[in-house]
Amino acid sequence: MHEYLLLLKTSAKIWFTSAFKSKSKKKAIGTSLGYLAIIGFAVMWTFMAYNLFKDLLAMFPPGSEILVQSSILAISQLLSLGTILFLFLTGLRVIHEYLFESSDMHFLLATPLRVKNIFAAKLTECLGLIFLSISFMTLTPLIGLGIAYKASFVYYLTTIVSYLAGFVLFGSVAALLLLLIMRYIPGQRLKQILLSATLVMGLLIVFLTQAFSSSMMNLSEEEIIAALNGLNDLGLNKLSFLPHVWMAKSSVATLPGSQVNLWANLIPLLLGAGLVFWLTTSLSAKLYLSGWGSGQEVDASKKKKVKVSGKPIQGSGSPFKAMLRKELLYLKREPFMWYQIAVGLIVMGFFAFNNMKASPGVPITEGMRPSFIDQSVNLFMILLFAGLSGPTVAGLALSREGKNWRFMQALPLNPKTVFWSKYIFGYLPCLLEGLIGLMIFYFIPGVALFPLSISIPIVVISLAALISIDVWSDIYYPNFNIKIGSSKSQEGTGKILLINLGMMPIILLLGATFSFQWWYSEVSFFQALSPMWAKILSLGLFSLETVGVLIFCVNSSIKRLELLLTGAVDAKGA
Amino acid sequence: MIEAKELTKDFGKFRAVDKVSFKVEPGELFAFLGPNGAGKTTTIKMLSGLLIPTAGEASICSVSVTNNPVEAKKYIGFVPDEPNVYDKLTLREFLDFVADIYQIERQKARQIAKEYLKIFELDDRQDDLMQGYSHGMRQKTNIIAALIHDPQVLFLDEPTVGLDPRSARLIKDILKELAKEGRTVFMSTHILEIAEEMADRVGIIQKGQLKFIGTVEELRQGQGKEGSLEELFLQLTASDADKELISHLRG
Repeated sequence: MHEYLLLLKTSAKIWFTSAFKSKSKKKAIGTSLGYLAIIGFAVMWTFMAYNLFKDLLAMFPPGSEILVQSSILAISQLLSLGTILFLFLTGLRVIHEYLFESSDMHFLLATPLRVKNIFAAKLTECLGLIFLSISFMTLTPLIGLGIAYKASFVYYLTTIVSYLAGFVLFGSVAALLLLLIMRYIPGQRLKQILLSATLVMGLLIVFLTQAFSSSMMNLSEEEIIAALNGLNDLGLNKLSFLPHVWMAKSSVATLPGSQVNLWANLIPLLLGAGLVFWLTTSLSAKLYLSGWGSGQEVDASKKKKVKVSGKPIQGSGSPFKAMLRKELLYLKREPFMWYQIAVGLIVMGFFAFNNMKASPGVPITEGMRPSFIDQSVNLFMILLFAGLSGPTVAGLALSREGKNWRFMQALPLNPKTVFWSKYIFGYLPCLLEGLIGLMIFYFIPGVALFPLSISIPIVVISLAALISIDVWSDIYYPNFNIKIGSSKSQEGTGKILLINLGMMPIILLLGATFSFQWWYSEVSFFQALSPMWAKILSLGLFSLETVGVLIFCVNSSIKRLELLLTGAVDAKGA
Repeated sequence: MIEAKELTKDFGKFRAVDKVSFKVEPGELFAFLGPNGAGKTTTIKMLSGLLIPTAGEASICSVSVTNNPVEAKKYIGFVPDEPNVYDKLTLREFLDFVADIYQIERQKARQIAKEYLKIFELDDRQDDLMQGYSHGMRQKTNIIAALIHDPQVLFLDEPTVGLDPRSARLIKDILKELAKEGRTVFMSTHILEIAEEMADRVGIIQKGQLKFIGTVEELRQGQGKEGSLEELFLQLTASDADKELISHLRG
């Protein structure tokens, strides 16, 4: 126990120092902004959940308390089930990284500490961090429910305790599975499987939540109550032997007027969590070392496992083409980047679909002119989705070099060659996303959109400017410590979040400038303008903004790269 | 040829390299020695165009690294101290990439690559993604990438670290052969036996200052005593307290 607590104390100290004690002012500001963004999201989710539950409770006619309670319980069970699924499929990769890829494991395992204590401390640390990082998504709906119900402090306490216990229980099961799997599947292969499973799960979650919100959009009160009745008919409440039901029941048991027995659910949940954690850590004493060892083992044998086409590349002899080819090969083989693009396309697809549902059966004929505002909004929604994928790809274009940056510096490379290859690397996937999005909007009937002869150039030009900002920001503040696709790379996530926040006003500005020709007459200051002049001003300003941004970012980036390539300026992690 | 004139590098208030001057001629194998943090890697970085000096000048084959880094780098092959590779590329793709960057004829590059791949026993792994490579395989990959364009000057920062004895021996033989052919080889190492065995001349740097440059024999004469390079190195770089500790440990 002493060893376990000592390790936990050290981990907590390291985590606290890296999270809150920063010597660099810039890093401290970045970290604070990141935390503020998370808190902002949590407050937003809570508020949304509160409104949803408040409206839902108001829908039920008086005297239907039993139906209300069983409906709330069914929703709570769906939430706990979703949390567990999320933990199993997304959190599994994080658990794998903590248990089998932590850089300090070599050191710890070489000390006379007992393996099961090291394992238990690492498992506790990673479950705690997963709980903290996803609780703003999973617990906020329940907090919103509590506020809607005017629940007491005990409700919030039991909710947190039951979710923590659920995390320990299912996290320990996941760790146990990993312990067994690591004995038989090589580390690299398991990593690929986990990454793919995580990304597929992520896409599925995006798809299902979009489909859910799309189907809920036009439901009447009667239809919502009927849907909740249907949920009750599934009989989820009767599965009282399943831990996720204990989680759900423990959390709603202390709501005012609840008929659920708290102790009958919380005690088995706590006992189950403790028992599975004890079992997993006890087994780790026998299983962990061999699994960890096989994970560290690099396939140095002559068996060819991860193989790609052996077809030789036709050489061009041009450094630019060589750089570009390298970038594109990377893009092709980096699932994390394609994942972001796929998410953008799914959201865009549902946005267009909902748009169509909002105006069903109204085909746009020649006699009817669609609203210019609708056309502009739709066009800039496409830009928003495609532009927001940029930070994941273009916003890490240079940082992605990681420790290879030193190798890159030693090559006789012109800064322009590096810039344009990085720029095209970032621009191509976003342009592809933008154009596919445009086609989705174009082919879904009833969606207001400018003719393709206007929409395509606007998407091409605007994305060219937006992506140049992404690439510029990364070249100006590269961070070669970032690990792409790693769940532990908080620096990468923070950087993407900051660029995204910075991009939104720019996309809005571009949208507002382009659509100025249609909204100028609403503002008294511009009413004197003739439509012709408004159009000239609108398009002129739009061109100036995009071309100006592009020229500034290109020139500034190339100058900065010249300094970076010769080591004249410091870069994080270089 | 490598030339350093009054090469200086400051990191804030800390002077990492202090007015270091020397020349390394073609056909020479030069070993750069020094304790940890003495300024070896910083000097190599400045000579190979990875770091701009605070003062002074570095040139490679009479091309100024400071003023014309891209041109100077065309003459250089560089093996960094940490063997990093592009995980998502295969070895073949990586070597093609390097060959194209140096704009060398594809057939020639393939021929050179083929020989080295065979020597380092990587020829049947060249279509595997490098993400599965071991430390030693990555180090070999870095060495092949540095040699593929047949450079005039080769910089190697701790080249034998992580290599098995056979590969380390091969590296040593290859470096000797390259020097014989007239290339300039500049190598930093902590393994003094390697320096003693291979180097035509050695340079010893301590706290950013060049303490000695010359042959091992000249070092012996300068120190006025016989002994291995290790003993001479310690004599030159160890403080009085360190010397006392060493003699105490040796009984």
